[in-house]
Amino acid sequence: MFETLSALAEPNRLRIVELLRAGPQPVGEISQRLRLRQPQVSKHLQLLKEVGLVGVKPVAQQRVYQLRPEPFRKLHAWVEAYRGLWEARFDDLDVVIEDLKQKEKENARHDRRKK
Amino acid sequence: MTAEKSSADGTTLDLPSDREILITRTFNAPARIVFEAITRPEHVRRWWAPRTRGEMLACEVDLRVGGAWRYVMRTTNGMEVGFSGKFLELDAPTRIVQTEIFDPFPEAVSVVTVTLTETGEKTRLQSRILYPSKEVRDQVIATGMEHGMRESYLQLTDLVASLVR
Repeated sequence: MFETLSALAEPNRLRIVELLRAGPQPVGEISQRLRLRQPQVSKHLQLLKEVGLVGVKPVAQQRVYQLRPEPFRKLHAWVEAYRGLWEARFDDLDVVIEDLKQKEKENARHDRRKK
Repeated sequence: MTAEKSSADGTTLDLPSDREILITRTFNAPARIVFEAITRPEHVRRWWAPRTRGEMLACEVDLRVGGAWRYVMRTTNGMEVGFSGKFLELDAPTRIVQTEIFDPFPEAVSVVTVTLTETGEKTRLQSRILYPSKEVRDQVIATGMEHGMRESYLQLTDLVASLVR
């Protein structure tokens, strides 16, 4: 989790990941499309590979980089779990709020009757 | 980074910077009622530990600037989770600023700013949690972003969502 987020926090690495969403690419293609120097791209790809975000496979004479879905699934699961806790709280809070609205209405009716 | 349910009144979670979490939800009630529901302990008891997740063991609120609050819940798997803090600013029914400490990390003080914005019959609640440091942020929200930029976070959500689909 920590590693996934750290790796993606670097803007150029995120751009590389964004680009790879379209499909696997060789390093030269990535460097050209993003207008980054090839050694720089290689360094980023190396790190992305270390944290498991991308995999590499040989195609013809080239090494092609592609995204691996597993870390993204984990990240999504974490965000969803935390959001889910708040969603559960707020669903219960809806019930409390409805009760308070009801009580306010009843009090208003009661006050009118008194007048 | 935003995650949300497709329903109109869903809860959204954003990470606007590397030290923050922003939670947003809209309620069908005027701000004064939402404010009451989130500040009076007899009401907080009924929702802070969601029925599906556990039960409330303690809920104390001294609602004044400098006053203390403390919530403890026992989760369905038997874990006790306690939070406490002090009120820094109170402006009923639109704004609450309070500190927040999670029991296992007493040194780590977060600041939570709750804003209620009333529009028509509805009120939007935003809770912005600012974590004190990289360490806490890592522990609590499990992010290790070093130099995250807003754009990166926003893109990240779409990215994550598209890859999971």
